[in-house]
Amino acid sequence: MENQGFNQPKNGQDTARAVLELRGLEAVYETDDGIVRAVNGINFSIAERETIGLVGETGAGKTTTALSILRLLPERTGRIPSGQILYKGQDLLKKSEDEMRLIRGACISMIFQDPMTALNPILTVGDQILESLEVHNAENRTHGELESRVDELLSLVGISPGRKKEYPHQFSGGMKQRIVIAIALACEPLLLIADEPTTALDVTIQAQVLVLMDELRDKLGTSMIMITHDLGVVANTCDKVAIMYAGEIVEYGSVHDIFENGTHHPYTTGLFQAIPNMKEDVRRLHPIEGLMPDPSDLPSGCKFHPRCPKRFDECNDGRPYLYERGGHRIFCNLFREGFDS
Amino acid sequence: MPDHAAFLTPAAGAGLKLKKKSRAKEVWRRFKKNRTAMAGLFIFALIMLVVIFADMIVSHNTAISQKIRDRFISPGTQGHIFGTDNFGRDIMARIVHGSRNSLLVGLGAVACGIMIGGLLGAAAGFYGGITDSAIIRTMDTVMCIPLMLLVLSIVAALGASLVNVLIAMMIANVPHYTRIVRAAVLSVVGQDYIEAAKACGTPNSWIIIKHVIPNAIGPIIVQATTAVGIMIINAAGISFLGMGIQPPTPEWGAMLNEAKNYMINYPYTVIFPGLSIGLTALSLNLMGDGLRDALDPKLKD
Repeated sequence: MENQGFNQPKNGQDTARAVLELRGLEAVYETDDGIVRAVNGINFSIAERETIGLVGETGAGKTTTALSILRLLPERTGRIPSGQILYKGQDLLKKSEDEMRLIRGACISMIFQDPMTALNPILTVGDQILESLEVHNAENRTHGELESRVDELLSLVGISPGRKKEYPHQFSGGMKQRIVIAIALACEPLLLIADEPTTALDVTIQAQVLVLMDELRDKLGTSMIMITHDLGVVANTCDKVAIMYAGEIVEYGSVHDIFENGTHHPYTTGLFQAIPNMKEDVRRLHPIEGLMPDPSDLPSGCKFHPRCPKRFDECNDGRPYLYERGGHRIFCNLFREGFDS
Repeated sequence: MPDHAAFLTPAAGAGLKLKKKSRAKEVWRRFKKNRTAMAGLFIFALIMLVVIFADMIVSHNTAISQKIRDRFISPGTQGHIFGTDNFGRDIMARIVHGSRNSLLVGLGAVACGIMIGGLLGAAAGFYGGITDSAIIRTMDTVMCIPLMLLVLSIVAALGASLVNVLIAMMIANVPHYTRIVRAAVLSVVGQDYIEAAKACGTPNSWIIIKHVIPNAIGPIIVQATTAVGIMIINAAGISFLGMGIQPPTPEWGAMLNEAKNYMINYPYTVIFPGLSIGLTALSLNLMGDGLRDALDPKLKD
């Protein structure tokens, strides 16, 4: 485990009332072509009622992180060689499959990226919401009680309960995503993992869904992991942000640290330069040159150095320097003390 | 539209209209709307009535007693509605009694084949990995043997009889259905809603019953209904080779085979058994198509 101790959380208060805490989590896919290192030792924690944004390009390991938390990595290839996933202090990686099944949906649930495919086309939406309730019906509530809970959930997400006997194809994309949210919230989970919940929706519907999720989070007090590549979504919804690159967190901090503060990882700076800025007049946007490294053949040293505009020899090997101010953490040699840029 | 209020607020309208309906009722309601499917069901129901009440329609003895004197009587004369065959046996009586054997072989081979093949295919598709490889490679091996040869060798080993033909054809068909069901299940298992169900903590057994099977069943139903006619013809081929149904037992496929030498001069000897097989296959096809459409809520109007 080469990365342990490298990304370790230093903020003691962070972990005290954490709903979920990841410690040095690694996830790999063992394919015929070799081992794909999708997640390489990440650490973060989520307190109650807190939303953390996982931001990064496609292939940064965001979804793999989410699936690892629920232990839903593909059985044949996915493996978690090391690390801990602590849910209220208990390591989920040590739970049996049956125990995990009871946690999924009831304690931690997930919203999938594409609402068009996340609903079973031949079951009514009411039945699909009901399913989650039936699976976790520990109190042996009657069918009638569960049905009324379905009505309640549908009104909660702004859909008339009268439509619960309709099939997914009779709803628009935004409404389907509302139903997916209703399913995820059915058992009042403590933690909600939203995997790019707005990517498949058009912009006006995106806004509606985000507002809805915000409202529900405030109402139900759910913690949330918001996975996205849209920095606008992060600014609107998150308390904390983790910027991921090649399976590592390269920068971590509060929304304020990431969006307002001047000190950033070169990758974060690159991400911001790639989107239009309201305050500055820029003629052209600056995409980050090159591509995400192949996760089955990661570069040595800082994973970002082949694409980094500010790289120097030291970046080629060894771990990048950890810069830390308050809760703001950056893993980059640029901030090494005594280094004169 | 008379009900303007419902038109203006579709959600509220739907709430009033939609009463509690079980899934089976819902499927039946949609099936009823499909006229061709209902025609198929009607024809099949008639055939089943013939199967059940065969002895009341005409005695079994009429179907097998030979009167060389009465060979090749034209249909509609001397009390023989469909005429008589080369041994002077009444063709209608043979069709009525042959329906039992033909349908038993056709439906039986397909139903058993699908049940066994379906189980194997579903297991292969859902669990994947070694289970998948083991099942599919075994099936491929069986598939390598030509169908007729395989059936003949099984019947030769078990002894010639109707039930053994059924068993042999069932075994020969299992690989085919395993492949179809596996393909259908694979296309469903990769879907997001299966993963979403897992993320909700739904047990595997629920996922298979509630999500995988209902979504995969469409192509299987269509294949199965098409296969019944083919099975009847195949059984006839085996009877022709002397390994299947023994004369004088009436069976539609066997009747076709016996009559083929006289086809030019006495075409009715092949037309009636042929029509019976055709009608059965047609009615099942129509029903199958209708059922597939009724099971898919997207096609609901």
